[in-house]
Amino acid sequence: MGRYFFHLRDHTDEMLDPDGVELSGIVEACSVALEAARDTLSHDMKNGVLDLRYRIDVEHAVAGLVHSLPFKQAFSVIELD
Amino acid sequence: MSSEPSLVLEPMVRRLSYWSKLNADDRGAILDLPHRAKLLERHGYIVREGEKVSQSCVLLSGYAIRQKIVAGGARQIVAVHMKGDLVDLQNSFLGTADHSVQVLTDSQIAYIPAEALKKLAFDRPTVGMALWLDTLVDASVFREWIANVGRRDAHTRIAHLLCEFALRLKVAGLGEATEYELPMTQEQIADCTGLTPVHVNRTLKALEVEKLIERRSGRSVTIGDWRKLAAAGDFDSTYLHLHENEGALTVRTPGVRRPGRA
Repeated sequence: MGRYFFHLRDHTDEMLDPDGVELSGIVEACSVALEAARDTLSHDMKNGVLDLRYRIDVEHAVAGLVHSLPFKQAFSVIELD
Repeated sequence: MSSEPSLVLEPMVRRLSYWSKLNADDRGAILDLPHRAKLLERHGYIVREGEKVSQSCVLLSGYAIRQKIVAGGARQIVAVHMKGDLVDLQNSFLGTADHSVQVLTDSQIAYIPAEALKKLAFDRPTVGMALWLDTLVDASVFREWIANVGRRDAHTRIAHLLCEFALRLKVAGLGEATEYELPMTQEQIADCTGLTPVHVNRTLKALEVEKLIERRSGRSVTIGDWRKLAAAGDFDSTYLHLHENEGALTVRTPGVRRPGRA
């Protein structure tokens, strides 16, 4: 158990998570980060632009940074042969 | 020797008087309702989904939410309530709670036996009508929230929610329309809008960059240009059924209906 914070960062800016979420552990935290990235990207897709500069940095209240997920690693693409 | 009526239920009288002209006897009869006041700590449950319910609950202070939990464990907040709201009229009259009601903050609540409320409603039709109107306005807000979550994008959803809070907090005497404290965390806003907290965070930042809102500290929200925020949020306060002067900040860009839809 622990409180995890999900900060959104790109190369110039950051949007810090002020509240955090109480989660069971790192596995759940990684899952939450993945869901958040996909949620954000799916809404971007509706507007026609995917901004892949972002990453989600997952910080534990005590342990600090425990996971970093670039948006580009949140999905896979199957392209035409 | 005369005994003064308890004023514990005064926020309920104020709420019901908003849409109905209650006379002194009606107001006195509401204040005389049997009730049990209680302090509920933050995140405490007023009622849980599935429970048998025989009492209604009035929120005397603080904030509460109605929520549904889906099979995967995700939560959808379907309503936010504030001081004076009858937060559980629906569950109590139907007998079994079809959703949970939880307080967001330390809150003073008062439980009223549903039977006493029913008797009052039939003995005093004006009060009965006021209770009915209260549930009708609740239903109107539910409809708007369905439209918000189902058909608006993230940017519009959040802007709409901020506009709604602005007017409701003002009417409840809990803030100014253009400056108030958000009663919710970003996680809770996410659960209101069907988004994730990260997405809410990014959207709030975008609204700041567009100078539609300012967040000076913590959860404070300052609305720089109400007309622009209302337009961004597709916000029309009609569904809140406010008095004319209190919904007057409304601005809406008329939507264009897609052809060929029944």
